[in-house]
Amino acid sequence: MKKLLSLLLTVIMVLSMVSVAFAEEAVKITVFHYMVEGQKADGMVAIQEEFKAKYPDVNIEFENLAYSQGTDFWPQLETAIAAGDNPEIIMGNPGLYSSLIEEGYIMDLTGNETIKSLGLTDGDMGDVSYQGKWYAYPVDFKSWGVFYNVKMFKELGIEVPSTKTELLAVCQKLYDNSITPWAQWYADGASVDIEMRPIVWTEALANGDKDMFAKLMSGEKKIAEYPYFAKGLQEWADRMGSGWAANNATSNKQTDANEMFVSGKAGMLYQGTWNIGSIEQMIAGTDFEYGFFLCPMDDSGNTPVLNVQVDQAFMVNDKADQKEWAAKFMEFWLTDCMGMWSDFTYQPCITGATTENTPELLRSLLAAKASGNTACYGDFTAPFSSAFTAAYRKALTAWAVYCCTGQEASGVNSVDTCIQYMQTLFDEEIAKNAL
Amino acid sequence: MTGAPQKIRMYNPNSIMHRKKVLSSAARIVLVSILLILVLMPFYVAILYAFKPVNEVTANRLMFTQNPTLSNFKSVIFQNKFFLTGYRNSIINTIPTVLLLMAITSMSAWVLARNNGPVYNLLYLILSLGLLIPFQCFELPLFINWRNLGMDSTNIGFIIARSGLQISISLVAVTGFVKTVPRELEQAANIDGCNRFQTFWKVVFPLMTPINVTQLVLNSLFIWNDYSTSVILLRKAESKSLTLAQIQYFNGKTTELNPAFAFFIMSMIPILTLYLICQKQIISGITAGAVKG
Amino acid sequence: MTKVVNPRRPMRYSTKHHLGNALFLLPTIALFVFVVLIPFFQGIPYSFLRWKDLINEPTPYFSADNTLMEKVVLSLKSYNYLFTTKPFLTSLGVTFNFTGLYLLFSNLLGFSLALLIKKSSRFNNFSRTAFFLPFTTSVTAGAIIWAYLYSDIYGPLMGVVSPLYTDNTTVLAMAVMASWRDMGYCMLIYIAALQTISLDYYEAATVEGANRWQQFVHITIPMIVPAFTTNITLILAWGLRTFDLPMVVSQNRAAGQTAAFYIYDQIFQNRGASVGQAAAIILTLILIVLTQIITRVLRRLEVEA
Repeated sequence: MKKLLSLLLTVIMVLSMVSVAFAEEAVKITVFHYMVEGQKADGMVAIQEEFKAKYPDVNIEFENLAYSQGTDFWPQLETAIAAGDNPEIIMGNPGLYSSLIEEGYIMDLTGNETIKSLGLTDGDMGDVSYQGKWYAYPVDFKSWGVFYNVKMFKELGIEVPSTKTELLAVCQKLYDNSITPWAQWYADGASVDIEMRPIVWTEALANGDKDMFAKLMSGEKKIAEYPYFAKGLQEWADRMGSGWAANNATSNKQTDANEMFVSGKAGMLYQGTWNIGSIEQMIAGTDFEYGFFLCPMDDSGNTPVLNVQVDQAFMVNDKADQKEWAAKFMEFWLTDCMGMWSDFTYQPCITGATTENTPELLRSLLAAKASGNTACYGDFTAPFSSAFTAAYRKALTAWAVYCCTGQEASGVNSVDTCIQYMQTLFDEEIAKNAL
Repeated sequence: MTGAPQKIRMYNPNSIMHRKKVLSSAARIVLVSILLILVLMPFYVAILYAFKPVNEVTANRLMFTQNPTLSNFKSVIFQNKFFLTGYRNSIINTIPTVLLLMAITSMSAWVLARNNGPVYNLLYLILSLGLLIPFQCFELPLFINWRNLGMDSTNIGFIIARSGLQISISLVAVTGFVKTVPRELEQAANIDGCNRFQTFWKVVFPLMTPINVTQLVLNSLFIWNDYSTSVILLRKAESKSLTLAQIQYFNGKTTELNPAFAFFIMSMIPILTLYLICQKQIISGITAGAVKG
Repeated sequence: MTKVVNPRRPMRYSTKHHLGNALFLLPTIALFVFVVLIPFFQGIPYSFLRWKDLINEPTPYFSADNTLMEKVVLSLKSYNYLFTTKPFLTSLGVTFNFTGLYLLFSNLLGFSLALLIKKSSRFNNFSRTAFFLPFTTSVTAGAIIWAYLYSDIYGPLMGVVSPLYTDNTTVLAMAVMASWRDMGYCMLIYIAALQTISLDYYEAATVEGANRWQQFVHITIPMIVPAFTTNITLILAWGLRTFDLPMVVSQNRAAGQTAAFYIYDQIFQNRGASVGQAAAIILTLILIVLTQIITRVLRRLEVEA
């Protein structure tokens, strides 16, 4: 049995030697990111190969730090950096990573010539800025709206709605034909958030409340002082409720809703454009056809405003060994590889780049953005921090549960109680920040 | 109301007793079978999804697919670059941890079971306290210490941490078992001139085989499936364990449910094999270890 | 030199004997101190400091010119926050509800299964293996499969929303998931305990005219109280520390968030490291006190039985 012990010790020693990493190469750029879609991974590999063809000595390594939900990238990143990892490139929108910026981890890109030459708007750059300075390279953007089943609409003689009344009539018509109008996915925080944005962002910006999120987080203003939230909740309730919500509306996640939509169990899907790639992948080889329109919020018949938020953005670590190469790589991506990125990922590029393969839907999104009829998240002075985002979504989820199932969650049973609940959650965050 | 049955019983007691027995055991088998179906249902769902082509969307999600495919398994093995690393890491982490635990807990348990006294009782109490302290209470300091020692994201660091965390639950069970092992053999060995070390390894340790095998399997289970320690300590890509590699599929943004279930099935195989091999030992180990503990 | 010992009389041990014992205990104690005890005590001061995230250094809540009393009071800010706002108290409520149901289900099911298949036969042995199978899965993978079962089978079958996503049944649904996984373990312990009961007791009772129910109440139950103690304390500790389940199934909703999840959320996701650490210490105290009480009660039952 002594043998066992000595065997054990040998095993441990050998294993610890095995675990020693291999020798470092000449130039290695590490990218920390939280993209999980296969298409994005393929896109990254392609861009990396392109770069490597030009600069053969430079190796780029992508490390995915997302474990369960996108929201836990920050703690992963934070602990990795605290543990002494020093990645060259960090994915993320700087507004959420203020402590990294304050600790000097993020390179100041203000006035960067390459970014200037891309012709981006203030709204675009606002999303990658913190206190007026540029801290990241924006790559693509996202928006949200209604995906609809083209064949189903044709068969039932439904036209794409251009007013709210028409939209509700479409819902009713689908419902009357025993089709669930919406594939809903309120188990995911993102869904409830994007349902609100066309009202909240658009109207707040139109009224000049650029500092709305900053003031809500500091406690200077209450949610009830901004009527957009109440209006957003009401508009959304009109769409989702009225008895036609499916049983699984509050238990579905993104994936489930996509599957529900693609399998024809629901006529429409309120979804973010980042799902175009996934939907394309799901319908490959089938004759499923989908269309997309921006959700009409009133009866004016005007073209709805396009919400724009920078999606993929990358910061350069000022404390990393190879930061110059990292900046060079990002600039190469932004100038030479945008069309390629879009082709791989079905993401609309922030620069508006297209190739001959760019699908019609992406072209129309790019055109809508170029028209300037937009409400950009970057136009706000500061975004919600992740803690406030979580609190906000918690309250919205409770609202979705009430509207879809009629059950009170956390005392939410009306627009007012929802706003009260949200304010309670915000106050708790504010109290914690004051500690 | 019950005249007739009594009569029958008087005439032919054996037959009715027999029939009753058969009936009750048939009812029991039916009941157990229903429970079996319920309990195994989740595994059916996992298998179903694992063999279903990614783009197949059926009206009834619970129907087994018409065209089963291995492509999900292939995609896990060849496309998830964390699968093989994860497998390697999980094996490297689990085996030394369970062996180390077996060696140290059996030694300590023997001492603690055979000695009575305030010091020993206090030691036992403190060591079993680990059962009660939630990991969340010291995950942060543990992480910071490991980072300062350069042991985070390494196999050796994980092995040390995970063995330490597992000591309490293992020690309590093993100590319980040792108390049921008669002392006579050790005393005989003592008389024969064995020193304590020899007595332990030659006489006591072999007697502890049932509980050691049980603990081997249970500890392997806990460590193979560990999530909370891994998520804190294994931060770098090359150190990720299987559970962490798997979680990636459940990110809110993916549609890759099918490979996720293929992954789940493949990651279960080693632990399941171990359990099936050691099944009989486990029952006898638990008998003495847990119940008398 | 060997000493002749009298096996009948308890030995008086020499210092040398105790030193030998110390050698045997050393590796276990060293590892435990290094991994559990030291970090545990290190963690306590963290809860008295102002500390948002891991990148920033912790600083005291008080300044140098505060009086000692003020320093003490200010140091308790994190604790004060926990008890004056709702989330932590809610999470404690969720934890207790969950643990209660989980205790009940896993033990009740584990015990019933044990009674059903305690005898060895091919079918029973197979069933044992099958019932233990869920225990070999990881909590996370099991939870995800269950989320699908709830929304795809149970939901449509009953014409309701997935119970996991309905606030007043979330805890129940989570308890079912946890019990599905762990009842097999409880079952094995109960089977083991049942097998230790000598058949003589039952024969004697039959002779004295006791029926099946009386035998069950007066022989079976008292004889397996130790198994109850083992299972209840174990499940209690697991239940109060549940973290993976809410991590997977109810990130967005207060209804399913346990105290352990709240702690992780504060420390690692929501920039409230001090608050999280304070919550962790409170949870530990609750766990120790509760387990001690329950163990005492059960041990007393054992003695009586």
